[in-house]
Order: sequence, then C-alpha cells, then structure tokens
Amino acid sequence: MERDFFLNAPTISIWQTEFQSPDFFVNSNYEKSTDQYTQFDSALSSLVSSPAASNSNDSSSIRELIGKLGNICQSTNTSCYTTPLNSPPKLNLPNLGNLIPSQPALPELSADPGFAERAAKFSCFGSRSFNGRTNQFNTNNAEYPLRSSSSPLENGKLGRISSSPALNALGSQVGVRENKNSPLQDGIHVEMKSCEESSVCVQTPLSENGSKGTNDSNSRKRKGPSRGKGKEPPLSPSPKATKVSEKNDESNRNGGVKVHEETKGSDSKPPEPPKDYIHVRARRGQATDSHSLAERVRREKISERMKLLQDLVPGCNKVTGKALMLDEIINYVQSLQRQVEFLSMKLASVNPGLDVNMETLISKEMFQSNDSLSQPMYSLDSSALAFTYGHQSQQSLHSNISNGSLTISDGLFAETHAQIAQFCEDDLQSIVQMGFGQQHPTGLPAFQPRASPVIKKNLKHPLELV
Amino acid sequence: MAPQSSSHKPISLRTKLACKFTHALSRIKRERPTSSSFLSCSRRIKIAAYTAMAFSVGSRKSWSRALLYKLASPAGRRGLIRKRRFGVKKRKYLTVMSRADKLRRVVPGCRNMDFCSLLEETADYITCLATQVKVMRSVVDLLSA
Repeated sequence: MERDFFLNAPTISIWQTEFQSPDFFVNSNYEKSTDQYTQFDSALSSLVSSPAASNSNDSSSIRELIGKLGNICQSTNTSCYTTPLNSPPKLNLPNLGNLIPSQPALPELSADPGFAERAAKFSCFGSRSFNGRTNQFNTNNAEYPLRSSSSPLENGKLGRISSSPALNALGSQVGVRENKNSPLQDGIHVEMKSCEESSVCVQTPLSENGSKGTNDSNSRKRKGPSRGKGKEPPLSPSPKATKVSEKNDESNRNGGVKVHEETKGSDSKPPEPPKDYIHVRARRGQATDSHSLAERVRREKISERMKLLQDLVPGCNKVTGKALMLDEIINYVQSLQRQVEFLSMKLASVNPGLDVNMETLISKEMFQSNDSLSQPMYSLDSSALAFTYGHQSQQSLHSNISNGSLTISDGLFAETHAQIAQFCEDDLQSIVQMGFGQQHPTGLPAFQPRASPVIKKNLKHPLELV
Repeated sequence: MAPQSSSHKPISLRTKLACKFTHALSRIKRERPTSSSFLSCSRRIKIAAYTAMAFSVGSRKSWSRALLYKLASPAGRRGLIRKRRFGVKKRKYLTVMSRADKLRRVVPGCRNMDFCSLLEETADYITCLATQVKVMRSVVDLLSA
C-alpha cells in the first residue's frame, strides 16, 4: 500500500527531487575518477557493511560522511552545471517551469535531523527496495507526511535511486512520454533525464544566488545517487564499467539493488551480505549507472508482462512490438466488453419464466467448474483418486463413484461443494447439500442428507448417484 | 482415506463467477415483473455480470476496487451502462503513450497507474472478463437448450 501511496502522491514532488539530485553521470558515463571512488570507498565501506545497524547508530559518523561527500560533490559542480547547455532538444522545459517554483525546501535538508539516517539507508535501488525502504521509512519516521517539504525530497531520493516505481510514476506523468516515443537507448535516455536534472540543478542555485548553503544542499542532495554510484565498485575500486556479469535478479530479492562490477572471468557471485538487496548486475558491455540499470529492470518487467498478455490475448503471437500489441489488447478488451453486453441482452430475451431451471443452472455450472476444480485435487489424494479425477467426463466419475471409491470422491465433492456453498448464499447452499447424500462429517455444519424432489426431477446423471 | 475438510483449497475463478452470476440472475428473475422493459432487464443483467466479476475478485486488484466503488453508487452504475462514442482517430498519431491512455480508459481503475502495473491489471482483467463471458455463454446455452 505504501507503494500505491507513493505513486499517487504528488508526483511533481518526486519529479522535482529527481531534478535536484546530482548527476555525475552527465559528465561522463564511463569516466569516473578513481579519486572520488577511493574517497567514496573508504567512507562507504563501513556503511555498506552494516546498513541495518546504521538505522539508529552513528548519525554523527553519517553526517561526517555526508560532509565528505559534499566536499567531493562540490568539485564537480561546475561540470554538472555546464551540461544542460548541451541538452538535447527533447528536453521538456515547460515541465521544469512548473516544478521550479515548488522548491523552497532546499536549505531545510541540512537542518533535518533524521535526514542523515534516512540518507544512510540509500544503499539500494530497485523496485523491491523501494517497497522495503518505504516500509522502513514508515516505521522509522514518525513524521512522514508527503506534504512536508523535507520528506518529498527524501522520497525523491528514494525514487532517484530505486528504479521502477518512481520512474514509472514519472513515466506516467511527464518526461518519459517522450522516451516512449523514441527508441529507448540507454545513452539518450540517461542523458535526457540527467540533463533535465542538471538543468534544474542550475536553476536552483541561480534562484538562491548560488550561496554556499545552496551548494551544500545541492551536494547533500547529490549524496543519494552518488552514494549509489559509489557503491558500484563496492569493494574493488576498479575504474571502468566494462566488465560485468549477467543480471542477477533472483538472488536476494528483498530490498535494494546492488551493482557489482566483476571481471569477465569470474562468474561466481560474490558473497552477498544478508541484507535487503536485489542484486542487479549490468550485462557486459552495457551501462552500469543506476539510471540505466533501473531503466533496464523496468523495461524487462514491462516486456515480461507483455509476454503474459500475449498468451492471454489470442492471435497475438504474430504481432511484434509494443504498439501493435497494445492495439490488439485494447481491441480484445473492448470486444470482451461488447460480448458481455450482447450476452446480457441475449439472457434478457431468453429469461422469461425460468425459475425452476435456476437450480439446474447452478448445479450444472458447478459441475462444469468442478471439472476444472478436480485438477488441483491431485496432489491431495492417492493415485487412485487422481485416476478417478483424471477423467474429466462426468460419466467416468459416475462409474467410479458407483464402483466404490464413493466415500473419497464424495468426501471431496462434499468438501468442494461445502466451500462453494459457503461461498454462495443460503438457498444455493441448500440446493447443493441436497444433491449429495453422503457427506464428509467434518466442517459441514448444516449438511443434511436429503433428497430433493426438485433436483431429482431436473438433474442429469451425475447427481443421480444420490 | 477421506481427506480432512480444508477450507484453504482454491475455488476457481469460474466457480465463483458462476455462483455469483447465477445468484444475481435468480434475484433479477424474482424481481422481474416490476421491470418489464427489455432494455432495463438487459442493463440489470449486465450490471449483475460486472458485480459478479468485482465481487469474485474482491479488493485485491485495482480494477475490481474501482468497479466496486462504481457499483456502490447509482451514478456510477449509470456510468457503467454509458453509451460509447466511437471516434475515428488517425492511426498515425497513435503513439505508445496514447495507446496506454486508451488502455487506461478501457480498464477501470487504472487511471493513475504506471505502465507496468497497468499491464498487470489488464492481464487480470482480461482473464476475469474471459471467464465471465464463458460463464454467461454456458448459462445462455443451458437456458436456451
């Protein structure tokens, strides 16, 4: 639910905080100075080793860390700010115009006492980490109103690092719409987002006269993704992002996303610390910054769901591409809705004077659905019974039941019908009970073996075994 | 040996839909003399179908929740029966995003969702709709045969 809460929260705040977060990536996706990383490394290694512990402890050490990071960040301020001039024409400036005025809270970050702790938790990104972190935030922070000025920033930090939900929220709102139009290449997308972000970085110091406080706040805001970035070579500050192993979603999906850079030869996963991490590894030859990784995770989720939909919608196998698939899906849903309407009209015309047949209807429906119900019962019973239910036809059921596996099958029938009876309403329940003379004694409070003349009159052979 | 009665066995969606729908139908038939017009009858049956769908899925999915809210108010029910205006749009300008918006209009309760969850909801909605159509078809066959 927190996830929903996040997504339905004013997404402008999330977008705005996206803008505020710094962008080393803008400068060069692949040129990262080792100096920064050594500093990051030393500062973050302790943090990485025990993020859970850092929940309540060492806020002072965290603030030192933040200070250090801020110093590091300041050195790259200028390069960050120059990039928006090179932004591609797709930059959606009017949106920025809407968002700039709503950034009053930059200096408040430094004053926020809990911010250090929360910032320390940003050691992960990814959709599941998003959920996990939201839980953490909900439990750890008494003041968690999304309306407050400080918390949207933190949420934005969350969204900045965690990939899918915030990005998806963004995608549904503003800038990603253009992304969908263009072929989603990593470089373009990352550049676009980062340029948008950095352009807002420009405007905020301009609006606040570029004071040192602003720089500090900016650097503090940059802390999140830089922290995430700094974790990319967590223990081995090797420079480049070229050699990585394959993606690793399944292992340890509890919380965040940790990016590992490994050499080509080592296929074995490093010993994963027992924390809330989703380990996503960038594939070889692909960008490893958190943006593109998050984007990749999101895209794979989307393609996974599109495949599911392809199985559901008949005739979609030949169609390739999101757009045509979506067309097909929309057409299919509309046709299903039209069928419901048409069938309801047909039912209205067929209806008159059929009160007696309701019981037959209901019982027949139950048997039809019982044929599909019988399959899950295989695991419960002996092979004989499985064989009994293997024949989907009612005739074989009838014969088997009459042969003497009566108690078991009846017990099962009674059970399922007991469940159905509980599910449906009272008169229906009574009808079902009447249909089965022998019942399983447990769990059926109102089960009475009675023969109903109505049913005997109307039913076909499966019910005649009573 | 007879199995213990366990209430945790899954009741299939189809069974649930069948129960709810047939029950609603029987209720409609009982009240039939008051509503004699064919259109209102068919509208009620349509609402019964959507009610069955929404109640069988419950609050788990966003679309079912939206349907339940709609059904709770009479204005919403009228909205369910709304007549659709079929506009002709140029295919050229149908980008992926506008298609997603179309999908959002078609599937109830997914207005503010991101694309990923929208697809998930659509999948669930399609399964439920398809099962409902099957149930209705079988009911029609049973009643007309």
